Amino acid sequence: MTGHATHRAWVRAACLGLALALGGCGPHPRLALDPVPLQDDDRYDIPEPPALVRDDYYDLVDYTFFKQIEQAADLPRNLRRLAGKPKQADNVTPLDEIQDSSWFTNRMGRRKLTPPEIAQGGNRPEGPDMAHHWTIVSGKATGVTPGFTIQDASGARYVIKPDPMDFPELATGADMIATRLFWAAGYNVTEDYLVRVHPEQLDIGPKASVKLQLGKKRPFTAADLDRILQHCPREPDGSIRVLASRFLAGKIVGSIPFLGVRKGDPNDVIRHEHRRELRGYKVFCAWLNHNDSREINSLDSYVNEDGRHFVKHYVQDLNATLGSASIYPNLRSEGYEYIVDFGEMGKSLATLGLYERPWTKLEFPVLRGVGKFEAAHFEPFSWKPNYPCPPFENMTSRDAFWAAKIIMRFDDALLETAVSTAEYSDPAARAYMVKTLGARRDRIGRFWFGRVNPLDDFEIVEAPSAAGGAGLLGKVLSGATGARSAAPRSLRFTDLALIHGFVPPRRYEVLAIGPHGKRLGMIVTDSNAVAIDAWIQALGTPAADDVNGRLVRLSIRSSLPDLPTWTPKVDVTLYLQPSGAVRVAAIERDE
Amino acid sequence: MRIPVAILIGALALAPSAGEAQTAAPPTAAVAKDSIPQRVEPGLADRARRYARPTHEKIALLPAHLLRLPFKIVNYPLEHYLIHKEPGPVTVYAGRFVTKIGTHGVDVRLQGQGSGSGVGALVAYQFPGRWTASVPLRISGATTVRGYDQIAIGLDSLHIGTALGAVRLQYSERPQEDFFGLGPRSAKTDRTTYQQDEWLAQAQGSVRLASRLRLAADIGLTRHDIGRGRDADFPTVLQRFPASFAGVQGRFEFLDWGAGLVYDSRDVATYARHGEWLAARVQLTDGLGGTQNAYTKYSVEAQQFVALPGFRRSLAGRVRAVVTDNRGGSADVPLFRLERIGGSRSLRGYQGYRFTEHDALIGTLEYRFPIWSIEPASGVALDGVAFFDFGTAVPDLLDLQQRDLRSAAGIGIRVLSKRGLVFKIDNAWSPEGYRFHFGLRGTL
Repeated sequence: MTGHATHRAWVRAACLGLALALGGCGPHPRLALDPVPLQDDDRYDIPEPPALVRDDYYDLVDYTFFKQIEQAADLPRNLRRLAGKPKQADNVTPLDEIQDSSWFTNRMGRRKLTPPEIAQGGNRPEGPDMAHHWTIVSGKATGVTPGFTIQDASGARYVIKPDPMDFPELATGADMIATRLFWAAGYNVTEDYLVRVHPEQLDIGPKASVKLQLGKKRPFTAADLDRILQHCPREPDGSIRVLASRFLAGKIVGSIPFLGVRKGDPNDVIRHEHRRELRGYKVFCAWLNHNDSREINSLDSYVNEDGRHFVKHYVQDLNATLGSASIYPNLRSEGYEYIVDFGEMGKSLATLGLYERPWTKLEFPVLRGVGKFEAAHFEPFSWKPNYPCPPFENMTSRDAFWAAKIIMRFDDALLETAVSTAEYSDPAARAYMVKTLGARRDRIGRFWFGRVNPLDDFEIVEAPSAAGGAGLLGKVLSGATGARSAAPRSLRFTDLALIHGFVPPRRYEVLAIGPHGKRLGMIVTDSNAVAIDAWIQALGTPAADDVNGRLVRLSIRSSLPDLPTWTPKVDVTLYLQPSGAVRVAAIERDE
Repeated sequence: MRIPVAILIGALALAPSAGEAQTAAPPTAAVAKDSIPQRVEPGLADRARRYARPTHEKIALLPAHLLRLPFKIVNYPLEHYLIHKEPGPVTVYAGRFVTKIGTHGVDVRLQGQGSGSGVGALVAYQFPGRWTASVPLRISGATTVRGYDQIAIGLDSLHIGTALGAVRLQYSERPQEDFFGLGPRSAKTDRTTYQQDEWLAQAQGSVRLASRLRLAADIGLTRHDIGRGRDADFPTVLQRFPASFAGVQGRFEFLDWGAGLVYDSRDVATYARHGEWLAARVQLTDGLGGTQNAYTKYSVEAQQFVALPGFRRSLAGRVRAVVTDNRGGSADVPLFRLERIGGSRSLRGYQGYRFTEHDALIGTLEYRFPIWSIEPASGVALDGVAFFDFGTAVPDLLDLQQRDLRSAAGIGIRVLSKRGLVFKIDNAWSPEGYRFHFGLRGTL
């Protein structure tokens, strides 16, 4: 055998291996034969896990270098990616959603929240006690962000974070907006309140201390307080606008590792890079330009809720979002490249610096409280955080679609409400922020709704006309025939790209496949409701325990505007229950 | 036999994994507990099983686990230092460790010496305590992989009003300095070595005349013992060149004293992006004892740094000329005191000290461009450079001919901090081949 022939044999063998792996060895589609529980069972009572300690610089080095090497050594992951079949998230239900858990609560994903709910966010109605003096219990002497911790008259403790002197309203405004939006999306966030405090309202507690480097402490003095307050911008009445972030319930046990699982937490069995809410977190971060979405800006707290002790997972420090870097506006490059971005570095090196990085020419508004936040050059796909996060790198189009459809539910009125919580003194800043958030939202929807077939909200309805007035207008091309029941049933869906105006009204091709791959029929329709009775009746009367005999898979494609091609398909599996009712048992999207 | 292995790898790697779990059962009814549990609930085992990686994927991941091991070992000290913040008194800079114990200090850094020393290290003891921080006593010892040694004691950075001063006593042993013959037409194949042991006692000082203008002066006594080079791969100077060359062996003692003006408007001394550096200097040397030499060196140097349009691009240029005037009737200037060019700070495409003569001309044009930066305020950055060097060493610069000029070009990388250059790598090409240079000091 010649060398060339040997090479071809190798390639064929490898392809065969891939084919066997992808086509022959996979399990059957996961099915929701019964209603999917709303809650994941990740809140078992567990002993306290050991706390993890994370350093700011080490975090950057670890994820930029060491974690990248770990991922590069993950052979299954890399082969899947080469074959164009990336691993899908592990915690997705058969209906392509996720359950409520200690990580995420479906809020906007389940129903559209009201403006008052958005304004309230996860906060308590009362907030910090402003009627009495605050007692400072500790201060921060090191680092770039000044601040201190207080206890109010009710005994609640808050971390107090003022704005930087040169950039009033920047960090506090960004935090208020981002906290509300992340909470509404479903993430656990800290309770952050925007308050104005007069310096004379601050008392230094007798045991107040300042933590120095290497764990040493010294008493917190009036001089320390003066030094902090000197660097805070004042309101016209002399008060200081600050963010009061309430201490989380439970005991802090460190940050959320973005690769692998937390050791010592038996509830935590799904590798974090394969959790959908952490993968989809990238899309939310891109929307709000939360480029500092690093491990150190997450928190795990060992909580006691309803008598159960478990670890609850939070995102925090959201003042570095929306173009703010907490103590100053973002750098131009943030959101456009990693802090250490080998790809961009290679381009500069190869072209001897002639390659002009796109962000060097961006224009940003000069508005009080607004950082480097813009929408005109925002690219949802190429947006980058400060370092490569493993969950973000493992995100698939399905994960991104899940996040994008939540984001698209934030209409302009809700954005207006969220931005109003920032209490910008300049109306132009408020208007700019609403406009930019809306524009970035639309770019996200337009992009990710184009990467999969964006049909959603599948449900079985009794009569097409009752389900939105859309009749069956399509032409039956081929298919099984059978007696219709008295109450015709249809599969109804929502075309998200259509309702958001990203595409004009379009056609849908529906291919029905029965047990053992038997083709039951195909139609092309411009309706969002497809009659299914003929295909259901073609199943006959299978035995009650013959699950496979009770399944019909509908592969649906949508036409692309002005193109004779179709989107990737979405497979909707229908299950004929022994009672005769039909339910949607699985949704799988091609990408 | 090999084909089924490929199939197996493909199958192991690509088979869908985990997440087999169907919808999960909700937790059992909450049981109020007064204390933190000490053991896990039984339902957790079922949860763990549902999300466990399948066996075939675990097998496929074995190589990854093995590959991670060395990185975990490399990672450990960094993680330990940064996270656990061991209260060790060692501060690590690029290529340099500084340890402080009370008012005593130890400074360890990478440092080469001379033309053929190879990689070396320097250890210095600093004693700033008894006097003041502005009068630090410094004792240092340095060695290299090729047997170069140096010990020194001195007072650094003496501040007297606006004047700066330093005194030091130093002994160096350089066993294999390179010499290729005189002039620009010397041959690369004529490489020879000689040993140079040197005692130096020196005082330096400078005073500011205007905001950017300083007058600098120095005086020093030196003694050189020149002998056979120890590098067995190359002949000694006497084996290749006539004994009539001055300074090929014997003891030489000199008194050097000189003065010069320096105008400096650069933004950063070790890696400027704009500004200029102009210097003119005269140095007089007189032989002592049996050394019958007397000569004067005149040198001028101009460096110009220009910021270019675009993000952090700049151009740097330099011209330096040195003329050696042998004062009437004295013996010729010994070869180790002649101008020597070539190496990482002049003609980078040539070996160190490749050209030796009385007069020298050096020019450099360097284009600097950004590759990476962490944030402007920190100054931590990585730059690329593309450069062109030219120069020569000739008997008389006034008789310089174009064919005597040598040139080299190349590219390099600069690791920068707020204080300027931390580390450089250059790769330069010349008609004599290409050379890599690693260093802690820039070319200009």
